[in-house]
Amino acid sequence: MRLLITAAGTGTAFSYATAVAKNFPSIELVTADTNSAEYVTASLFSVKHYQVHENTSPKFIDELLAIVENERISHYIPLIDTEAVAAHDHPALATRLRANNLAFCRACIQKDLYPSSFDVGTLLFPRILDADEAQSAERVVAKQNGGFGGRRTKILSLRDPTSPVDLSGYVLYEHVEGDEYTVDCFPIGDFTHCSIRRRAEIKNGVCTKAHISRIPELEGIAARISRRYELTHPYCFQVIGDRRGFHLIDVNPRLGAGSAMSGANGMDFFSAHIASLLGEDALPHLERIHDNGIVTRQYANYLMKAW
Amino acid sequence: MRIGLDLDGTLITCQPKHCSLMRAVAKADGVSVCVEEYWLRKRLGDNNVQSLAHQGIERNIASRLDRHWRSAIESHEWLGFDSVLPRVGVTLDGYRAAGHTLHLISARNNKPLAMLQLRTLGLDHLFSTIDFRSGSAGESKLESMADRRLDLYIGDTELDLEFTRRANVEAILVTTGMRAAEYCMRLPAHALSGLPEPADIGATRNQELACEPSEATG
Repeated sequence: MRLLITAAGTGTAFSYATAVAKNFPSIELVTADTNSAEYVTASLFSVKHYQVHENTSPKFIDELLAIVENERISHYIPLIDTEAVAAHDHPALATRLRANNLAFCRACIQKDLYPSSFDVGTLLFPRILDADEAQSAERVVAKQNGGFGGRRTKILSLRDPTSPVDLSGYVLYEHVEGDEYTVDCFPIGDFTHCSIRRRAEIKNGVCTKAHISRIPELEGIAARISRRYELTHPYCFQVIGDRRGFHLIDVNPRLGAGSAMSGANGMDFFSAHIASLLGEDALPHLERIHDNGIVTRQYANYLMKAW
Repeated sequence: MRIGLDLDGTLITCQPKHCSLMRAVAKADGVSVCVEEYWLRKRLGDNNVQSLAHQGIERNIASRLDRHWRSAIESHEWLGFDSVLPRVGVTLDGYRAAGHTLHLISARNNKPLAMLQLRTLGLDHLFSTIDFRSGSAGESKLESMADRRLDLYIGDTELDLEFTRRANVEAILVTTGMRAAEYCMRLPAHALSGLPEPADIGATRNQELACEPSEATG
C-alpha cells in the first residue's frame, strides 16, 4: 500500500503516521502539507513529503492529482472536511479515497443544516438566531460552514455596538452552556465502536485533558448516524450536554487530533482504520481497557533538521 | 520458582521503536539509512554505531546519530511505539497460576516513565517486584538478580546471560528482541522463540554459562 495523507501538519495526520510506523511497517507513507518537510513532524515517518498550496487554492487539486500519479498512491486519506468533499468529485482521487461517503461529508460541512441532516432521534441542535435575537443574547456562537478544529468559529457578544465584528459568511447560533463531549466512532459491520471524551480542557480547538466514559445515549446516537449514512470509515462528532439533553455542535467525516487520546485507553482508531484498509481485523486495535478514566496530553519534541 | 524477567524485547517489542527512531534521527541529520539492514545487523550483535558503520556511514556521523537516538529512546513519544508481545499476558498469568513469583528487572534510565509505560501496557500488576536499573546511574541488573534471589531469569541479550552467570541464576534467552536465533545459537544458553510455556518452566537446568559481555546494545 502507498498511502497519501494530506494536511500532514495536523495532529490527526501525525496520529495516522505514527500508527503506520508502529503497526504497519510495510505501508509506504507519502505526506503533503502547506509547510515543508522540516516543519511537519509526520514527515519523519514518510518516504516522501510534498509541500502544496492551501486546500482552498485552485492549484491544490492539480497538485494532489500529480502526487497520486507520480507516487503511485493506492490509498488517500484527506483530513480536511472540505477537501474530502472535493476529492469525491475527481475520479482519480475518488478511486483512491478512503473516507466516508459524499452525502455524509457534505452533511458534515453544512453545519446550518444539521437539524435535518442529523435528526436521529434524541439529538438537539443549537437554535439559529436572527439578527434581533443575536443582538440581545449575552453570548452567541458564530460559525461558517466548512470550518474545522475550531477555525471559523467564534463565541462573542453582539451587545456592544461600539466594537462591530465582521460576521459576513457566518451563521449565528444560540450559545449552549454545558459539558462538551467528543465521540470518536468507527462503524464496523453493524456495530459502531465508540470512545466518548468529555473535554476538561481545550487549547487551540483541540482537547488536551479529557474524561473518558461510557454514555449509552451517545453511543446510540453514534450507531444511528452510522446507519443513516451507511458509514464505513471512522468519524467523530461533538455535543454539548445540558439539562435538556445533548446538542449537536459539530460532525467531522474523519477522526480528529483529540482522537489519539482514546488510544491511551486501548481504542486506537487510527491503527484500526489502517488495519481495515489492509483487509485485516481492526478489532484488536479497539480493545477498550477501562470504562472510565482521565487522559491528559503534553507536547512532544522532535529534532526535525540539523546542520 | 522466583522468575526474573527482562522487559524490552522479552515482554514488549523493541523493533518498531528502534527502527522508527533511527529513521527519524537519520532524516533530521540528512543521512540515508536502510533501517531493515540496521535492524538485521543489530540482531546479529551489532550496536548502533557498528550497524550504521556496516552501511558505509562514517563513524563520526554514526556516533552522532547514536547520541541523538540514545537521548530520545526513553522519551514518552517513542515509548509509545512499544507494544506487548503476543501471548505474554496469558503466559505470565500461567506462571503465576503455577505458583511462581515474577520479578521484573529491566535496564531503564527514566524510571518514572518506565513505570508509567508498564501501567499503560497493563503489565504492572503481574509482578511481585519491579526493579528498573539505570545504566547512567551506574546500576546494573546484576545486583537486582542477587537481591531478588532469582531461580531463573528470562532476557534477550548476551549481557543478560553474563549477569545471570555472575549471579548464579539459570537463564533463558528469547529471540523476540535484540538478538536473532542465529546469534543466540553461538551463546551457551537456552534460546527460545518466545517465553517458555508454564508447563516447561523448570525443565531447563543450570548451565555452565560463560560469555564475554558485548558493548551496550543501543
